[in-house]
Amino acid sequence: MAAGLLGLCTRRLLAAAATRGIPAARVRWESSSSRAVIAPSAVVGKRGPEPTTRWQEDPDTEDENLYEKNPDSHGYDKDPAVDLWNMRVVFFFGFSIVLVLGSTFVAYLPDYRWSRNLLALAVFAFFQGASPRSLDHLDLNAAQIEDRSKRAV
Amino acid sequence: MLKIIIPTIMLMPLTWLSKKNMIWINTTTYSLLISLISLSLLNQPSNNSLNFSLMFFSDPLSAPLLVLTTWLLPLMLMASQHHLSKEPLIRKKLYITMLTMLQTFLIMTFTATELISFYILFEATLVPTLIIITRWGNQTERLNAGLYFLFYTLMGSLPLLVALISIQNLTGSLNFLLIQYWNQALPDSWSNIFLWLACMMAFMVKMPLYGLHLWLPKAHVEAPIAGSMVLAAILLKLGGYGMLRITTMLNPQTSFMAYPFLMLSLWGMIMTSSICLRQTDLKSLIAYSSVSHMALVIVAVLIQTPWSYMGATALMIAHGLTSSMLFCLANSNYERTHSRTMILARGLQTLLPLMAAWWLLASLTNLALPPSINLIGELFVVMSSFSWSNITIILMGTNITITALYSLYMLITTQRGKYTHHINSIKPSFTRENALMALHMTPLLLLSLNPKIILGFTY
Repeated sequence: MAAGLLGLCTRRLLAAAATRGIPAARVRWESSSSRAVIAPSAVVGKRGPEPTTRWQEDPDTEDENLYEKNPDSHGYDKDPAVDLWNMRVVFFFGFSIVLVLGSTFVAYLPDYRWSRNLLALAVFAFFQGASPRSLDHLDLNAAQIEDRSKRAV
Repeated sequence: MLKIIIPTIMLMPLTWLSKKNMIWINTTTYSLLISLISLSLLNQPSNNSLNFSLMFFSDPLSAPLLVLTTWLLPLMLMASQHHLSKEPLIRKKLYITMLTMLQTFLIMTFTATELISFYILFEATLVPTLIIITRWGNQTERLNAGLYFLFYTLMGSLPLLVALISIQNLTGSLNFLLIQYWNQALPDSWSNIFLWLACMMAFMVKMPLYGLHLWLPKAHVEAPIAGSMVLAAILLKLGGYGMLRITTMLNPQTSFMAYPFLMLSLWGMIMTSSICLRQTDLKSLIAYSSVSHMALVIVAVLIQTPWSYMGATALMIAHGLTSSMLFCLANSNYERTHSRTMILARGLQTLLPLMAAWWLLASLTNLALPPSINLIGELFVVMSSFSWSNITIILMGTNITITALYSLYMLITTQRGKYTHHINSIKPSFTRENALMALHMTPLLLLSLNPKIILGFTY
């Protein structure tokens, strides 16, 4: 068993040497119990034949590293000037214009439910006989928004 | 509405007439400005709806979806710039044209007043999406994916066309604004049961309902990044929007016809969440996660209570932004390793720490962490389904747990642990990618401060 394990280790070492191109030690091993012989290839130092398919994990040879030619690349374009302007446009229009102005607009949208309630109360009071002048002095707290938690789920 | 539709259509001549180095800058700028204009639709002064013309209207349901649609176009353009950089100029312009055409159809679909017009535009959105998937997808499976996508949706929607024509004959009008005042209940008969099925199946396939969802993982996985983004963020919501609109005319059949679909959705959300735990393909995991989230929306729409409608609307907007962001993150991995296998790009937190922060935020919103709008949507749906039937809490609770499990599994697999030996050749994150993630996350976080604009018309 020890011989078998030793053979296994040697085989692994030689396999690693073959694939990684490490200069292989000139080891030859013959099993005493069987006729197994492990020996490095006669053409040592040369890597095994390249696999027909590339390793998927290797960087694609067609992949261009934008940082190589332009260390300040923002990832938009190869041309540094276009890349810079594209970044500026995205940040200016995306953040400064749309997000800032847009969120301000949305934040200041009136609460129409409140104003509709108030108007409904005023009109109801008017038709109940209240004088038209009472519309000038509306009780702003009277327009309570309906308590949604009491509604049916 | 023309103030949004005409500029969107004009993005096409802008693309074709722009100089080579200006196509992305011009289209991104103008699409961002169009999204700014669309925010004006959130100003809904009337109790009913904002009627622009006989053909277009918007109400608190369609306005947030429209804003999401217009916001997504510049994000899609930014996300596509890298993988199209090697393509010839004509093909880049064609790609942008397809995205713009899709955008135009989507805007018109969400604002159509008339159901036949809605149907035609609903079908029209299939064409540019199919072209994007089959022409610009990366693997040979994209052709099969395109077929599944097209034919599943068509099979579901052709009965809808027949049903709509039949309803037009019966009522004389298919205008949304008039139909909401149509108080006549559908009489109980077999033909009306089939009418209900015909009306709903198109949207069930689009959502998709578990059982009719086979097209979704294929289409999402094989599509290029912009295709995945628009599919997950908007096209699924077309189904939800359609269901919310059409159920107004299908009472009282919905109260008993909904049962099998409710069961399928309740069970399906658990099944698809569990499948996510077993996925090796990152995009496939995100695709199945979309099915699970949309099953919640189907449950909400079929229960038909005010709170469930609020939950459905909020969940559609929240999921749109979250899943689009997850696809962008998956794409940032794919552009580096050219593989969608999760374990091939693991331990990225050490190498790309800022991107890890985006991964964390996206995973946390995906699992509906408070106080995000994802939680608001899910919570409203869970509460209304509990009110409908107490026992659904078991299924809903299980789904929420499994959602948390697979979101964290995805985060931990891609970000934590020791990175693989081959991965030290990956490039650092680009400003473009970080800006893209920020433009997804910022609206999501801002909405958690003011969720009432996305709670729909029952708020």
